[in-house]
Amino acid sequence: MTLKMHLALALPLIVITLFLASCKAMAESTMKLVVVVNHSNPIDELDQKQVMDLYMGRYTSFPNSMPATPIDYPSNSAVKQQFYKMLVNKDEKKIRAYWSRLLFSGRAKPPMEAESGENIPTLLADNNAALAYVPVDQVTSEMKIVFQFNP
Amino acid sequence: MFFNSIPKIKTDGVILASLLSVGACLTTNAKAQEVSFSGFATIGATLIEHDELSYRSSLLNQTRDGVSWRSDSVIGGQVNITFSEQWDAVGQVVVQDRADRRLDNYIEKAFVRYRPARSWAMRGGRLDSNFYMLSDYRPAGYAYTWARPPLDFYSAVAVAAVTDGADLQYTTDWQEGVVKLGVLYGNSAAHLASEDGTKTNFDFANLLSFTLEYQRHNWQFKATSASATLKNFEYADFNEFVSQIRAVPAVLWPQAQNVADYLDPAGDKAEFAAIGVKFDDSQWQIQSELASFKANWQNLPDAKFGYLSIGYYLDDVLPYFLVSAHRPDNKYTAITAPALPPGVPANIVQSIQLLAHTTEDAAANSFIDQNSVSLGIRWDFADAWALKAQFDHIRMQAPGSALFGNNSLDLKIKPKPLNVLHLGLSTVF
Repeated sequence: MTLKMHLALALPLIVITLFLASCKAMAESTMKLVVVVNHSNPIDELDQKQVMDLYMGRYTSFPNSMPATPIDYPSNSAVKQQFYKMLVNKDEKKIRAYWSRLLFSGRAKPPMEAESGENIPTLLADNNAALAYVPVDQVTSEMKIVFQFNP
Repeated sequence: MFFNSIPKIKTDGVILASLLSVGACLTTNAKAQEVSFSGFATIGATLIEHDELSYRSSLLNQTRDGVSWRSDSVIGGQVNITFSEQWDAVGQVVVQDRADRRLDNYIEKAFVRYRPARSWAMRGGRLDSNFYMLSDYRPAGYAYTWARPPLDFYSAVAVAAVTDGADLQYTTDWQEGVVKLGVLYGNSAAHLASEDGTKTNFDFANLLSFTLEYQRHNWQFKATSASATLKNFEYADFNEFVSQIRAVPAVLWPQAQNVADYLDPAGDKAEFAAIGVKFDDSQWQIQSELASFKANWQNLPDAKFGYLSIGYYLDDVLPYFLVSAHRPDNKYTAITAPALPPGVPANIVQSIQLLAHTTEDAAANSFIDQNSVSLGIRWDFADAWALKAQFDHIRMQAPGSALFGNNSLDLKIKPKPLNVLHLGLSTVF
């Protein structure tokens, strides 16, 4: 097989891959995320700073002093990447470095990491103190939306 | 840090008690909700280029020459135990290149914490002293940009980096940010050893510090004021040496009492003050700290020290430039033997001259006067992994090289600059 033939075969594959990647990126960039708590949690609303305080370890409890258990999507997931980009404008590696400072200073522990996105509704249902971010189309009747990012 | 004699080992009852209390909580609290383990490590090769000086990354560490895998390599493990919504405990052990290898020098944290309300937290046990911006996570290389915390700033302050005691922290919202106020009281014990293994121990007793932190958006500020009393200085035959100086009649050596007072830290008050600022908008990373230390003690001369680091993110790569300095408050004053009047017996003359000469060597050997320029790069090449390369060019005055090993150097001659090259890998797990 000549070099030209190799290129002729490879080129459509590259174009398709790039197209799919761009579609995925567009889908991710338009994903609408909301922050939710267990339906029985008395908290009805949080502002962005309060969400930031909990997810960045500045406080370990909700503004009403009820203990909070923030839940993260798995590492390297698109939802997690987007959430932190929107919350504090930092990528996941910088978030990990930030949390290593807090963890090894003994000040706070990072959010609980869910095994998968599908696992988050169960974690929320099982724990009144839980707090999580999910795509808005995955909000269930067991969840209560307490914050959504401005469009 | 300079006399030659038999080292004395001191059992630190406070830290043992702290560890036992954490252990007791571990074993007796059947309701412990969660126990989690985590750790960090840096493995780094450090190339030291100097004929007379040997390198160490902290005053507490061993001095090394040539290519060293030990100088900047660290491994640490941490356990977090949650007993209830209000109670938890943290223990952290860090294996690093300590010159005095007693267990006490490897325990960074062992405390129990109580959070009675959202804004309040109290801790008791072994705590980070929390004087400076990196105080509480210095060993975790992955957590900061550089190969190691800036030497001119953090090498000397490491002697008071952990405190056995208690603290109280209050957190509140202010101006779209979060303010943390802290007060700490306790005892910080320093355990050092010189190149020949001779050990030095002393305490920062009745240590009291006040800390103010403010974090808002991309900004972080910190200010600290602390004081302590220097106590329990041990250097084998140090007391006998000071007694000999004090015994010299003022008519023979008028400065003898002043020299002895400057040598002997007993009861001297040490004062720290520091301010720091950090800006990080995921494009620029700028960090600076300035600090002052005063104790009127020859072994840790009064000084001001600081650094400025500027980095610029290129995706996962962060090149940075660092300048730092450690400058004494007072110029070095040589201690000279007195001119003795004729008729003083020769053996008395020799003894006084020996006392003056030894004191002079000690003073020169403890004097720090240096500045550094560093260039480096951090590459976060994979999840939880960072590769770092850093070059340091350190210039010292004469005398002024006490942050390093300098026994073979004529301290009156200005040493040529010390170049240090580091290549290391940092991770968290």
